[in-house]
Amino acid sequence: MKYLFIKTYRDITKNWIQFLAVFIMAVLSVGIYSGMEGVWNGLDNVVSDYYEQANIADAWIYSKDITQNEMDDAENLEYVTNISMSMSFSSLLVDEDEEENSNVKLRTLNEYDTISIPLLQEGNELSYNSIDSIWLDSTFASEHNIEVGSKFTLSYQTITKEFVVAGLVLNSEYIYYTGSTTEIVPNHSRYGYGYISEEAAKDFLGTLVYNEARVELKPDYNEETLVNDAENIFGESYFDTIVKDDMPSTNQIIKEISQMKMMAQMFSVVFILLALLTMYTTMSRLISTQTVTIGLLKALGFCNKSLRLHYSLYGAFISISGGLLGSVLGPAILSPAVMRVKKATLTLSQWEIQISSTTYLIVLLIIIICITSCIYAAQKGLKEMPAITMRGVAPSGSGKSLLELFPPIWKHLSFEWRWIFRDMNRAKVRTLIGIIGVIGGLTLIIAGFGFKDSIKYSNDYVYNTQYKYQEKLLLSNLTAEDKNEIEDIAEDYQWIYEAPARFSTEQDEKNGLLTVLDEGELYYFENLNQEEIDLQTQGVLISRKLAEKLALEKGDAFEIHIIGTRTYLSTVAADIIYSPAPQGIFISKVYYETLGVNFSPTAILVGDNDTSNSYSDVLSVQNIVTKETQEENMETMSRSVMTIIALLIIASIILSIVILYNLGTLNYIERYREYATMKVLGFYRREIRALILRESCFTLLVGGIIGIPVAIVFLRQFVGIVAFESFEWMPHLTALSFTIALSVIVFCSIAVALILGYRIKKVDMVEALKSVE
Amino acid sequence: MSFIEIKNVTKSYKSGELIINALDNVSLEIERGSFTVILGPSGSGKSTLLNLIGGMDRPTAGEIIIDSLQIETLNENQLTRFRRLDIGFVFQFYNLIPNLTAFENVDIASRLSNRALNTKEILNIMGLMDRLKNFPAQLSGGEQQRVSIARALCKNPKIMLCDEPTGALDSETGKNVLVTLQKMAKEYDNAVIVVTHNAAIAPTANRLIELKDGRVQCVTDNPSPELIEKVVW
Repeated sequence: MKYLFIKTYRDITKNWIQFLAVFIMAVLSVGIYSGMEGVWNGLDNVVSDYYEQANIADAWIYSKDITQNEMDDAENLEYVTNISMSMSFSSLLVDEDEEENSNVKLRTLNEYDTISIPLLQEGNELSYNSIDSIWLDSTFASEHNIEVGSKFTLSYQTITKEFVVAGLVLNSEYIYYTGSTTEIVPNHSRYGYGYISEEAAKDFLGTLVYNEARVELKPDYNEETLVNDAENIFGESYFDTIVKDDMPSTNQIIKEISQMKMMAQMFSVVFILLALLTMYTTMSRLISTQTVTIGLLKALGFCNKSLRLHYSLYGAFISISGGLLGSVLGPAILSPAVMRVKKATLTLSQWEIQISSTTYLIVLLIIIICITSCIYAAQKGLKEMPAITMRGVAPSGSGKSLLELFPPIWKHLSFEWRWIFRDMNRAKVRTLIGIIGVIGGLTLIIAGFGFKDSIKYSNDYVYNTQYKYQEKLLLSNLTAEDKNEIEDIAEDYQWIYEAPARFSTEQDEKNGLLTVLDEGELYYFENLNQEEIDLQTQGVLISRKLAEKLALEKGDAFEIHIIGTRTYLSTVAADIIYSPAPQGIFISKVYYETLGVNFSPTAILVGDNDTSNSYSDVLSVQNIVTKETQEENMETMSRSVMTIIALLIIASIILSIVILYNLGTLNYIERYREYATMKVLGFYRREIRALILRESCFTLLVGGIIGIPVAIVFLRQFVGIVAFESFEWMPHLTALSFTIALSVIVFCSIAVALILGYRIKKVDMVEALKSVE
Repeated sequence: MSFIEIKNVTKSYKSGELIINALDNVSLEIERGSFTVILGPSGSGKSTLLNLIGGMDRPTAGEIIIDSLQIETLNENQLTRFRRLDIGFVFQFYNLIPNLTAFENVDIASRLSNRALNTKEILNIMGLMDRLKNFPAQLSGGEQQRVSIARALCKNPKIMLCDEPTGALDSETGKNVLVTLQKMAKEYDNAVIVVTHNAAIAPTANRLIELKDGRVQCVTDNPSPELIEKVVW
């Protein structure tokens, strides 16, 4: 066995290119999967621990002025295990240096609260008797340079109060927190949260009115029963009930984890399949070249078992080392990059990278495939008697190409093409894998570049086509006086009402944003035929993704429930529109009022430039968001997604190079004698090179014809699955990206063909032809 | 001046510290239209000599002049051109291209030469007209070797180099192949050089060159060579 080990070592060093290809395949496929899994699995575990530690609520009930009796009734429900009530309201940070207002959502805490408890990161316990201490959101504090012990002032309408920071906290309810329907990505500088004692709330507002109840439920609770019971208990004051999975923050985590899973799985499936296919071909072909050696070793007296072990070592050595290295490199290189992206949207006190047993199952699968293909390839030599095996395998080649069934075509083919088609017919698997390699490479690279384009295109569409305004003034308690003042200042404006809403059909329900627009031209709508649509004449429009999720078509009826209110509306979708963000329903003011609801704007869109300072004296204007800032925020988030995409593109390019080079090398090895014969016959090197190039071009052409539509379908699926629910990325591929992706594959193919063509120079005619094994 | 002149040719191979002379100061001459047999045991340097004449290898020292062309001085492209137009090779194990039919294997070579003979005519002469569409794997050893000869011949080369052309064939088929080669030398005015370790072939040559340990042992001219049909081995 000692010499068999030496032989293994020497065979590996001699055929290092093929072994390196298999090794890179194993590293890449396992690395991509484990790198992504490390993040989502880690996130899943950390968030679960976080929820457990904070004892996050199972449901939130919103009502006006909750009484102790109502609380007792709710607590007595058989599926309720615990309940707590608090007061929650929005305040503004008073800071003269800040140009824009910052919002702090306050919640009261008392000593009996055990549900959704904030976790102290720094500082001291909150004193429930203190009238001026606050536990502040640590990310908000850090953005505003507020530390433990700092003092700052908050305002609520016309009242202000100074607070002292007792501690900095994080709460599992705010892992993902945008603070406003206008914001798509979290903005920690503008939106934060804090906790004060009930005494402090009384001191601040002069009153204490509980408006939120957090509920712990038994696992077998029924959501419909809970909603009905809440309506009965809280009566007229009742607004809404939201269960944990529908809560924006928890829901976002679920979506982010599933988004990452989908992204990793879609890319990894293609990666792993391509890798396995290449590994199988490479290993089995390498061993096929050893048939005579197998016969010789058998003649020397080696038993089949030893030889099987010997050849299985080829596969085992490469796949174990590659797979394990991939499982280390993925979490070490890819996971931190992906994590950086997730940190842009999610706020957690700690982040962990944890891979699961699935990664090791993939490693095991790769090892099994490699070893099996080695043993299977060796088996051909092992099952015959040594004398037969030592004669070698007779060259195949009696098969006719499919094209020969069409003599008119075949006759007109040049000699070189006939040779190429026959060779492809002889080495069907190799040709097929070459084509699959091109398809796979194209698919991954086009998906990578296309994903980048789709994000950019969607952002451009939203901020340059759909939103025609320059500024959005967020309003609170709009008075008639302020309304007139705003209308006096603004020249080009459009009143708007926005509210989170639940849209339901008989089959399904989804959350989204309800947008009611007064007359104006600051919002552009386009239907799926890319024709401009007038909301004022249409009445109700639905965004494409929401329509798809609810299986709604033009003319279908559905219901709207404005979350946090008792408003339920029934309507019909007049048309479906492109609206990457927001996802929801758009209703004209006129139509909205015909549904029996009063239009009370929550914001005003302003088409004028740089007017933000003009509204500083208007009390109702709580915040001003410029479209530019919104776009910048979105681009910041998009840039971080690009990191992952860049990594995937790089990995895809490496994969394509490895597949094409490896196949080219296999082709070269298998046809070495033919090339030698051609050289002896007097073919110039350039003629042999041209033949290799022609074959590559054909593989490229077939791969391209199949690969381009496959890549486009994959891109559509990928973008659709990976996009957020709140922001639909529209699949888009620019001509430049398409050209780059295609060029990468064409360049790789041609470069490989040229390198192999160069190696023709090294074909030793004398050595190659002096004997036939 | 002879058609092929080999002057003081040495071919050395380095094997570690050791230098092995496959050919050691070999000089000989071969005429056009002759059937030459190079005879010698394994390791005598006969295949090396054939490879040098065919421009498949370069000598370490000495000169090889073929039809007034000094081939050891040619660059790679010129050597390829030389093989393309002037040389026809016949190998012991045929070296046919497996995925080309018999016809295509011959035709591929004829397309390389500007004075090529008609492919079908040559295949007809070789008695392969009913095997034109067969792939090498569907042909017997003798048939494959005839295709191989046809491939060499159809280029209408000045020299046919045959390395153990009968080595893989039974005696009857081997004889048929040699008959064809002998005929080719006469009919096409080629220099046909056959390398073999089979001494029985020796009397059929116009010129017999015996090699041993890389050196020429003797050169025997035979003005009336025996007919191959009469040879027994």
